[in-house]
Amino acid sequence: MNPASPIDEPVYDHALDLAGVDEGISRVPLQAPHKRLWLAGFAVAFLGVCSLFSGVAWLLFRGIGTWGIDIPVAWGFAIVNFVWWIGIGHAGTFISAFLLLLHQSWRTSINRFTEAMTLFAVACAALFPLLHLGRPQYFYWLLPYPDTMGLWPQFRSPLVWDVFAVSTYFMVSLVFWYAGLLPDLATMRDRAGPRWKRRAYGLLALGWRGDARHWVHYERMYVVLAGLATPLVISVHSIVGLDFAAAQLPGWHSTIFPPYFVGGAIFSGFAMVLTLVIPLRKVYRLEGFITDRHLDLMAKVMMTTGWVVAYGYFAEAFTAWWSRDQFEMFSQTNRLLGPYARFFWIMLICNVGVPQLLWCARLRRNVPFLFVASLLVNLGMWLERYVIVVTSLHRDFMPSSWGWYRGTRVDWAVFVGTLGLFLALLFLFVRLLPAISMTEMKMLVTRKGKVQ
Amino acid sequence: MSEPAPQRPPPAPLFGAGGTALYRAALGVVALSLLGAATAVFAYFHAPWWTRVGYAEDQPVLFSHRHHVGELHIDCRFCHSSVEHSAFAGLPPTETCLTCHSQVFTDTAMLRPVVASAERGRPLRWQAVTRLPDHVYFDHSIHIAKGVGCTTCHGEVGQMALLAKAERVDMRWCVDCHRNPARALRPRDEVFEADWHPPADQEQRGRALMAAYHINTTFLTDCNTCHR
Amino acid sequence: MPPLNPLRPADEFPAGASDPPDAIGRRDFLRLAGASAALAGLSGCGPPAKTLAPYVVQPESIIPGKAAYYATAMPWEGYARGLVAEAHEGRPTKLEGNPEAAESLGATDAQTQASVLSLYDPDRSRSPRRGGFPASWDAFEAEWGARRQALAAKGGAGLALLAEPTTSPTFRREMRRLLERLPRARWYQHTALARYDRNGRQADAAVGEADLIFAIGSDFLISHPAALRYARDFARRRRSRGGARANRLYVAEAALTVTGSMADHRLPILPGRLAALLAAIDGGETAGLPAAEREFASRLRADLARHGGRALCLAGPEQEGHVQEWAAKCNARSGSARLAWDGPALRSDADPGSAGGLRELAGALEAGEVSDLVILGCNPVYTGAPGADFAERLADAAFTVHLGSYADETGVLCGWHLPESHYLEAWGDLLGYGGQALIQQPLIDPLYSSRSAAEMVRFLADGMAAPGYDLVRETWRAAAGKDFEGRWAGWLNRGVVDDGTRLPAPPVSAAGGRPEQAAPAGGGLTLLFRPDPNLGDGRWSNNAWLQELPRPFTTLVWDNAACLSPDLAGRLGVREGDVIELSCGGRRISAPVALARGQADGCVVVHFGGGRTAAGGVGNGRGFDAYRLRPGEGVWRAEGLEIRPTGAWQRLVFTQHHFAMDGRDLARWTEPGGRAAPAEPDRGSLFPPWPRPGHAWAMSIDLASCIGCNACVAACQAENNIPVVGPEEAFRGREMHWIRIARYFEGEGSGLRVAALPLPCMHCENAPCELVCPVGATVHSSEGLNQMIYNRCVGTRYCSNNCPYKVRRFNFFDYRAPADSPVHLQQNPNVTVRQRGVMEKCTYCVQRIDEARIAAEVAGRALRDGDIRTACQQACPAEAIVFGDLADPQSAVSRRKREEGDYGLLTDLNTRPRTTYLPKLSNPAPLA
Repeated sequence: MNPASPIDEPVYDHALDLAGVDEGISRVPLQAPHKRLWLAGFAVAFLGVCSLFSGVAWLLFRGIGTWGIDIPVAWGFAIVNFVWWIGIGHAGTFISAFLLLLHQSWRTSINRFTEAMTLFAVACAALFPLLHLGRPQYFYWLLPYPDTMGLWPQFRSPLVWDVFAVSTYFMVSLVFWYAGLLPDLATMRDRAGPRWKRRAYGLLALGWRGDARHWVHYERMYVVLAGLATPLVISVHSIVGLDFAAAQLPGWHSTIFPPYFVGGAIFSGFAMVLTLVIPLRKVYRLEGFITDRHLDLMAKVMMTTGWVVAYGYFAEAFTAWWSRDQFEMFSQTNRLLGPYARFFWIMLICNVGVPQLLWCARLRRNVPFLFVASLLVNLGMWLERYVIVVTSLHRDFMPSSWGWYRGTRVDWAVFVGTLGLFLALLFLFVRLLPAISMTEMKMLVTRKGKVQ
Repeated sequence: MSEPAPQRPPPAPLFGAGGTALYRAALGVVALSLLGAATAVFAYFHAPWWTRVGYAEDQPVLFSHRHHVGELHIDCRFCHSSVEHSAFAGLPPTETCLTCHSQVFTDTAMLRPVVASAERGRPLRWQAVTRLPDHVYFDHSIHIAKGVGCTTCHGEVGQMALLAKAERVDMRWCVDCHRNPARALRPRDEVFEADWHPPADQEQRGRALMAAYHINTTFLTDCNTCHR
Repeated sequence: MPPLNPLRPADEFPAGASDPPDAIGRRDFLRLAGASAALAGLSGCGPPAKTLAPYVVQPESIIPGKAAYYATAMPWEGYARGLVAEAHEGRPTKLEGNPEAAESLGATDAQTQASVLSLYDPDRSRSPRRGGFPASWDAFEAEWGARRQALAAKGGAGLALLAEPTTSPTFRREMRRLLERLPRARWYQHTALARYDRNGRQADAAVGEADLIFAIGSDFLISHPAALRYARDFARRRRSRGGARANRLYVAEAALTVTGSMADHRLPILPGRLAALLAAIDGGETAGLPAAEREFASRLRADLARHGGRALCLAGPEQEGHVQEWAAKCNARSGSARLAWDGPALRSDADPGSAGGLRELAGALEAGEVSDLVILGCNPVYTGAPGADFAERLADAAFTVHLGSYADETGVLCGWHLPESHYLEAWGDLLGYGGQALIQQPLIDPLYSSRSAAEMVRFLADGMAAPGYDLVRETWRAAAGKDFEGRWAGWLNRGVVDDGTRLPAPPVSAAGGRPEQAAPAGGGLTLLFRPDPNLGDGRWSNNAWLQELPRPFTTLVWDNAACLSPDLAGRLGVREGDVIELSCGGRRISAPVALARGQADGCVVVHFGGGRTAAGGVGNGRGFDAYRLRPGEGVWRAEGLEIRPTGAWQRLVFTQHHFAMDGRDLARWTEPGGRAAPAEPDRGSLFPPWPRPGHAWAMSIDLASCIGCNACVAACQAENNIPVVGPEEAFRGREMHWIRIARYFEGEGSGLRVAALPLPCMHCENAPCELVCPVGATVHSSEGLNQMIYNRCVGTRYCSNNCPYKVRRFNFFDYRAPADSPVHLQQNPNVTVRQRGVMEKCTYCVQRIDEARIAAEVAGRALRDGDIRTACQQACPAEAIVFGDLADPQSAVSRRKREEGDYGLLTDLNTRPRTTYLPKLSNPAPLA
């Protein structure tokens, strides 16, 4: 289809009726098409999980020294991955909560999936703050609890804020996602074949019968939760940004960080959504629900947030130059020309160059291109965190203590491992639960019915 | 597979009568057990079998502080000789026991390990009663010098047939006293009194003594006071 | 392992003595490097060991939990370093200089500090060996008894003893006694190191008196038997920006030395060109000299004239005869007899009883004149020049005995190897370079069945053993005359023989001039041999502390390298780490390249101490063996060196990678009376000011006096249980030193300026690290200490990221020694041993603060200035580091900080460091 203007272009295939919605979506978990393909994909992801476990086991056995970190570069892959995963998580909440409050009807067909993505991404992210501790067995000292030492956490430290920010974010996202699932779980219960399956879905559906009281509560709760989740989109990554901004290290100590991190988070989040949605809708023939219009809109969001990120880079450089502070200026030049410069330039191409191509409407409709672009942006955003963490640390104030950094095999094993874990969870999700909210799709269809 | 999803007639109920009640109960149980587990852990680490308060260790010799201190009134420093000069209060070398016990009770079974130690030149191996982790640097001499009595931390040793741990000796317990030492301070000549009890006006006396001893509590709560 | 925590007394049978653990396996390097790590579990949070073992009979000298201090002495190239050793429950743990000793004045150097680790080295030889198999002293005594009969019959003919030259009166008395008993026995002497006597005279100087010092290839500030005294005197003339008394130092040397780095005028010059330079300084005709040399010569000539009588010229012991002569003449001419004089030769290099050096011994062996060879405490197979090919010669003797602390290269080749006592285990006596006699008093019974060299000689002579205690007392009873016991007690107490008791001056022969240097062959490069700044002639090769101590200027650790000036390397097209083949006089060896700034072009410097094969687990296979290139004993320079790149590359480990300040205001220079930079304005803070009811600890480091000798680094390591991490970890940038010396270079050639910037924790009043720690493991004390609480640390490493000075160190792995290692006995029981995964850093030696405070308060007095001295301060020979209470306006540190020019590092960040610096002094000659 190629409509006159994208605005009146529908956000789903109008040929669909209510039954069609249920059928089209629930058949994926219930009839499990492409069993082989699914198994193959899951197997690959599972290999990743194995690498995660082996990496973590070795790490805990031998100690944090198995990573590439050193003095002065005391943070490495762990923090890079943490920030990257948290960022990816953002798109989910942004789409499901933010756009809900903005009545963006196109969010409907992707919010369920992206919320799941958020949960799994945050789960992966949450691993790293624990693993990167020298003595992980004492992680709970970051929580305020009545101990025999009469001590509390040191609340001025951004790392303590992280603990609260991330855990809150995870809890709210989880509740939001599960609450949204309830009516669909009921539908699954009613459509599932074997009795044990129906019982299983039944238990999860918490006895949803779809009577009026249920719906009233459901609607209210959903909006309230959306309202709760929305500020978290901003707060979480602002605080992650403060992990760096609160330090006085040139290249970290910058007021632009919180907004620029949030922008970057949504940027990378949408990139990841594209990366995942494109194959998904292809394999399970969901083009009717996730139309080219969705891709187009997500591409636009990506382009916009891409500009936020670009502004961040510029602001950092400009502030450094404007300050005439020799350390700030050096850290910038070192970023552009120092030993790790190549990462910076690749990052610049991926995060600033690639999104510019999205000005072109044809490219926004070109699915293969979007797929590649989204991959590049993911890479770019990972490199961005690498540049921030490593290049700032490896050369700071004292030339006598300048050093270098390189990730070790264990670093890579853990990073690749989290990718595997993330994919494995997504595979299970697609296999067991409706990847698109049938409820909301049906609402959309009926509302349209009324309009006509 | 192409087996169509079942439409109507409505299937048999998935859950029997009372299923809902059961389900709610189950959810409740889960919640409670989580809470319970947390409480249990917390309680365990405050219970005596973890803090060892009131527990007497197995010792190589059935040495009675009640007899030697409570009844014979032997001064603490007779055995714990370095308590005024060193971080370590000192354990009596076997020869110290023999100052008396080369004369009295020499051939009792109770004393056999002591005699054996002296004969074979092998040290007696006592079990520590009041233990501190190795990252805590406690110094007896300064506490004595500042008028903290033995029984304040070690309890009524004069009443103990077998010595038992008297206090939790965890960080909060130490810091409580470092914040407000007035409760524990004694005149220097009463430091070694085994049956000392705080007088009614201990608070005032304590504060007076703090001034007299130049005790600076800001410093006392610095980490480096105990951790190096 | 008994607990070493003062809360619990050690078992009266120190582990490691009673049941020595097996030699540590070669499997795991960390276990060996652990030769300097820590007591397992000490920092753990679990319940500590439960057993308390009191003494059966308590020695009255010991108060459990209290350190005891004894005066003793350490041999340094045969001369005495007076020490005060600290012992905990009978374990020596730390060495300090003995203020009574004229040659140490309370200071120490890095090797002295590290020597305590060697006492507990797991690789020390623990029992006699016969043909490589464990044997017993009884077996040896029996065998020797028989041979002695035979030897005695022919007056000792065929018996040869090889020993290092030493000043020890007792050893030399025993040696002469043996030669009386067995007149035809021969006493040979060997050392790979420099000789300090010429024609029976030994040059000494009053460095502090001189206004102008001209050092010709002399590193008198660090590598000299009197270095500690010289450094102290020298530094005192440069303190507080010199004032009017600032001395001026000229240095002409081939390779940058610690002394050279302090020079006001420094000339990198090849030894071959020295003659011309000195002539120019004499005669004044500087034509034909390169510009740099001409300028140096004329400037110095003018200055010498200006400072007649106050000018001192020092020639390094490695310099050729003509340079020595020139120095002597120069001093004579400028009437500096009061500043420089020739004392008697105290070390026995020129003892008439001795029959020469290694070459002579090799000759005798070859001629079959030696049937019984006894090697006392030296390692000629390793340190001997290949010319003597001593290894083969050993086979010429029927019966060979080696007495040494290690079954080293020589020990494994000798029929018998016997363990030698560490100097902290044996009675002895030594003379300082100035002639002061010191008693070497043991602190601990020999850990293993070992004997001292003197005891050995006595046994060889008489066939029956006598305790060293008796031997030393014999020596001195004769000297003391009446009231020996009273005097003896006093000597032991003070460590020095200072009541006028004199021994008859040892006989010296005017013979024994130094061997002639290789004649300068045309073409090729100059090859210079030097003892390693850390490992000396290789005797410290198995000391992990010294292996990991950054060499001055290159900051190279764990290996030695062929040092080339960057220009020369450029011309040869080699980069750092490239392996080159050095060939000289038919001998060739390949070595990695290290770039040495400030080195004269056209020369390559190689250091001894590498390429050990039987040093022990730490030293084996580190670096290359420079002796393989040495033409002969006592040769320090060879000409005609050829270099060929091999194309191979070897990873060298440096602890510093960037040596330029890049215009940052870190190390500052000033001139006498020069304007100091204005004091920084107080920038205020958003946080309320710290309440300061009591003391305010602070430190001041005077860059003008700091010579950058690394003594503080080693002292800190010994005091604070700082582990060694090994080459792999050091390469990753994970070395653990709490105080490091940053080296910065400016300019080049004769314009090179070198700054040594010691960097302990700054104990910032607004500490960035404290702000970011999530668990409050690093917080401020009421006295301004930036406390680091290991047992609270979870290891986020955020503090290190936020520390602008990068003085924090992290336990990336468990760097502690294996539980069964004897090195635990060295640990300081008053400092927590850190666990895997915790951050650590300089604490201003808080354990010393606490102990001094407790001692003072128990005694019912207030802390006095000087009660507390940090380990680095106490070790510093130059008195560059001062620590004390800022709240006391009269304290030394307050006075220092009031001096003009006092500045802090990176104060723009408003960290308000408590550690501040005084600028480095340069005192150039006014242009004539």
